Amino acid sequence: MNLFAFDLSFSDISHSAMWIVMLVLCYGLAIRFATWTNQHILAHPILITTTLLLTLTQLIEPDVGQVMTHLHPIKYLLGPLTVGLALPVYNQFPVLRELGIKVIIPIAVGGLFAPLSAFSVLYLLDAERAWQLTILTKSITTPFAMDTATILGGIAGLAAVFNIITGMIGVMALPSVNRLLQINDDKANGIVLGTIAHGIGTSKAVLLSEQSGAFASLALCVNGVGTAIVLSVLLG
Amino acid sequence: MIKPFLQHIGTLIVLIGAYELGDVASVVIPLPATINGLFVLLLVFAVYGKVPAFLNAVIPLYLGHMSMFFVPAIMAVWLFQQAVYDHWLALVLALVLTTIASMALVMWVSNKLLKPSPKTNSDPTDQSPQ
Repeated sequence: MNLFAFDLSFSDISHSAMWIVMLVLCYGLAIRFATWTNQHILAHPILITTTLLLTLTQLIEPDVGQVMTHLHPIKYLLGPLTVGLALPVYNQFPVLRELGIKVIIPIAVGGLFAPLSAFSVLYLLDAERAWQLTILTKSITTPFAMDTATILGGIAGLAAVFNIITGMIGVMALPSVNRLLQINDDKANGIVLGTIAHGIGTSKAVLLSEQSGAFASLALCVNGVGTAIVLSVLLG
Repeated sequence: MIKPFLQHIGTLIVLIGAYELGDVASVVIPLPATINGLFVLLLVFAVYGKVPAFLNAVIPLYLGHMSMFFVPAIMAVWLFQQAVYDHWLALVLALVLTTIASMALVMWVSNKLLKPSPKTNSDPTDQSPQ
């Protein structure tokens, strides 16, 4: 993917710079709002930033596709930043070696059941093929999900939306699942949040306890890399 | 002042370099460029024996604000509004019910396998060398 998806004319660069500044300002406001609401899940910075930016888009330049083109340098940088996930993956190796199969099994169970069950629902309800393929990536960390969805023939933007909704549902549903199964253990909570609710769940797990956060981080890495590889190789 | 600036420049060069190598590799390895790039970086860490200090200092900062970089792609949902309305029931079932069912299944399996016991309790936060 090239850094610039347009000709390097002065007009394009200035439009691009303007929308990048707007994005950063909206994100800054969203971060403040999230802090003010004590990190409430519905005040997640992604949700607020996207809402603010889409509102600005409607006021300034109603062509959302054009604004997305102006923001292409930011979209490009998501790739290299995703590669930075190598750092937490590398840091989790000692834990993975120590716990081995005991921790891999629940992550693999979730990594298989979550996408296949969601795919089955869309398949049975006759949704479009691209949507069925996109939802397979709903529980892996968003940047991997977007890339994997593209390789499968799905839609990257939709993959990001499915991901974020899944992460939010995961965080909101955790107390009910705890009550339903009468299990409230830091390790299990961490694995559930990291495997099913990826990055959004991991942020919540860190707030629950240090142990939950560490297990969630491990689950996020293993499920993210594992599912992305399996889906790409089998269906790509 | 100059050191943090150089750390950021160095980190960006490494990340973009690994990503672009991953992109080239995806011609022969059928995986996303990001996954290939991640393996390139893991290989660098393995060969070097540890994570270089400048990457350790800067990457967590970038990962902490990664959500801002999703926004341009998420804006595409605006273009799918009608399709979302058309499929709302399927989406609610596929996203809400299956997520809760998956959570319950993973929690049950995790609890069976990782039940805390006094002698075998493993704490992943303890990453001291074995």
